[in-house]
Amino acid sequence: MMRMSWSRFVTVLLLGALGLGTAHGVAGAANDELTVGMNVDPVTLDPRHTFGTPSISIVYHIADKLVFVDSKLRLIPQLATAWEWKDSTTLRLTLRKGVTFHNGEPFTAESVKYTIESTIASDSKSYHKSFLRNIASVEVVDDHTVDLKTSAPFYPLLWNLTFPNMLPPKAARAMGAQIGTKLIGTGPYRLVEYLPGQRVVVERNEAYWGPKPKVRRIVFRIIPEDGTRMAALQTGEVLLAENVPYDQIARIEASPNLSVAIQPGERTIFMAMRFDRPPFSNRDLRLALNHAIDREAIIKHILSGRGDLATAPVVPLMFGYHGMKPYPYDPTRARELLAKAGHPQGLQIKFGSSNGRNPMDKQVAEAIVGQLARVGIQAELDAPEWGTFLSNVRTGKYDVFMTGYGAASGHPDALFAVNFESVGSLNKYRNEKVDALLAQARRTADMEAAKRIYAEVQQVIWEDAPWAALYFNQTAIGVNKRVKGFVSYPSGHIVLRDVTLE
Amino acid sequence: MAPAYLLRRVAHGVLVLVGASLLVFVLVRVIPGDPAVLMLGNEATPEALAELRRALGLDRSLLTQYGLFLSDCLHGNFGVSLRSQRPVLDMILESLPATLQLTGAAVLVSVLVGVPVGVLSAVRRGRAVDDWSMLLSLLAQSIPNFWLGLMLISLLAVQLRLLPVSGRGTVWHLVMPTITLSLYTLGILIRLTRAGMLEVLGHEYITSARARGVRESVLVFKHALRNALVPVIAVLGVQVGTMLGGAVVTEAVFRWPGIGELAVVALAQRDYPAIQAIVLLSATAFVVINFLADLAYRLVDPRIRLE
Repeated sequence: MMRMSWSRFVTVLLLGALGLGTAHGVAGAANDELTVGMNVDPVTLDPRHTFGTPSISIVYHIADKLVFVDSKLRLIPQLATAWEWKDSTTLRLTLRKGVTFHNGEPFTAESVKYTIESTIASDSKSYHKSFLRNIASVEVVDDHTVDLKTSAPFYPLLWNLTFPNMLPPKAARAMGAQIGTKLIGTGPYRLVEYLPGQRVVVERNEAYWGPKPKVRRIVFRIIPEDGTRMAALQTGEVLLAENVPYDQIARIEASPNLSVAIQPGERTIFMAMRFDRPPFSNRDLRLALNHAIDREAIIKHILSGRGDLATAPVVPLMFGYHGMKPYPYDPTRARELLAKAGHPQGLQIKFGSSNGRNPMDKQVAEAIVGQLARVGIQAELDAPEWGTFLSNVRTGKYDVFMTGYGAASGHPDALFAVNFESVGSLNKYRNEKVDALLAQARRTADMEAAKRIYAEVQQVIWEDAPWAALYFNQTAIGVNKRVKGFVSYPSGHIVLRDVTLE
Repeated sequence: MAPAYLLRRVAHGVLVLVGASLLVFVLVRVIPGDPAVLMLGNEATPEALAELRRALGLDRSLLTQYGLFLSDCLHGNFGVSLRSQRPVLDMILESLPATLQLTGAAVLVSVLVGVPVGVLSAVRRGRAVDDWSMLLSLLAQSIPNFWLGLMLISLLAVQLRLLPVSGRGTVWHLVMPTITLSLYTLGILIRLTRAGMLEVLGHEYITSARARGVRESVLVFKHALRNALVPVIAVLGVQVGTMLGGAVVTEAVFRWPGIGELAVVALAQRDYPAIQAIVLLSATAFVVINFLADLAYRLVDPRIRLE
């Protein structure tokens, strides 16, 4: 009995060895199959419930959006070919004709109505709900025209239309939660297989309305562990890999068949100070903290140069960006301001940081603790996982917290609302002028005028300093040289519509 | 086997499971982190968050929530994942085969290597073989499996290109995760088998058997090993449970799509129903495996009465 099972084992090993010869070291045919290493499992492919860069990247290849943001954060038409504000609360969209979903259902105004209404329904659990909540109703004008009515003038709406992916109403209603594993869209690829926790496989949609992608089949393999994902890139098991850790960029680039695509991102890394209570209700102290941090040293020594000194609360590509002079590193000035704020002997603060949410975030926070100590601020650091961090921020456990915030849509409205508007500010910032300006910007139809308002908002925030803006992030994606024509996006989204494979 | 014994064991098992369910239910709600915020994001209005908490039943009293949870479990309904909106049981059943395969392979390897090495070590006590196997046992128990996994990948997959880096598919995908997961238990088994064998080999009945001219191999494998295995099985029962837990790290390193990975994702999202079901299921597995281990003693040593 024992002997038999051993011989069977040996046979399996030998057969496996034969298989190994073909599985490794043999390059696939040109444009046939591209394997990508993703760092998070989407968990569900229902576009209404996906969040996080990797999941959005995958879903985007299967289901098109109304409006798309290109690599320069500009809005370009996708399923909406034109848009126009009929009046201050009516956005009219002209829809692309002759588009069908992968199941044959035609894409019409009803698809838009269904997708948006199911996203903002009162029992909706959708991550996009907040971005579309200003929509009061969706009115079908004809098959290819739809009016979005807002409850009050809200001009950033157009940018927020870059969030939802259009769904087929009949199939989606019939499928219920199953759409999460069997997503149907109008995209350039159709879903072939989703094995949760393992991979998502898509194949070219031969009936696609737009330019057909070159690569026939894409396999998104889910490999969250950084070291493992980089190993898979090195062995050629994956030809693209998300999030190359900054300390491994040099090693990956040393490999003759690999390169790392670096791209300025859309996210600002910042420290936010609790505005509503001592000690940081005092502006001098907020300025002291701003002067106490050596941002350039952090970028150079901890981020290996993979960051850009923050010159505003939002990145340069963002709508309405207004560049200003960063607070210079000046420990003497910081100590003076500390004394002026009534803490000549220094003070102790609770400092929270996200951990693993942004590249090297915990290491940056540790360096900041050291820099603060030099001017007399003793920071007690807590860097838990994201869920705990977020909860601690909201319950006010930290005097200062560090994380990142951006806007993949290219519009800063949500960023400003969550951080600087009294109703939603995570660090309880309250400034009536900022509130008034943000409200005014939302109802300003003239985009140039809106930009001027956002410039003023940023100026006020910079001087009032509820944040110490640190740096703008950069995304790093590992690319095998067989992949041609890969373009990085500020959002870090992997877009493979135009790549070719040698 | 006495029915009274069986009844007592089952009652005991049920008690453990109720305890585990209560513990996990309270723990996931005590740790910081709000599933509503994680689902809707920071942009959500307080009204939207409150609405979602109500929809998820999180606004009810803990006692009511726990009561509903228990009654659902008894009806075989483990709830719907907050994150994927799919029945949690389906998700677990999809991941379970991978975890069972990996744990099974790891148990097999640790027994097939650990027990013979332990026997050899005892028989050749004080010689070079003994020293080497003790060193192996020490290393096996002290190397962190996270580190070992990455080292194996670096050596066998990246440098030598012998094995695939990660994932599940061919038998080759199983090699590195199995080594990584089995090593700790392997180390324990070597030590336990050796200690058990040394003790048994010193007994008088062995000496007398040897005096009667029983062949040494028969002596070792038939007379001694059988008795030395009793503590080994007891520990293995516990170790299998530990392996199911240790699989979390191994599964993460090699992206083995099992329960461990499911648990990590569920915990990060505060997916209460998923976490509860996974823990409850693991606890059930633990209880069942321990019961089986008790039965196994009796097979090995009929003198042990299950009472």
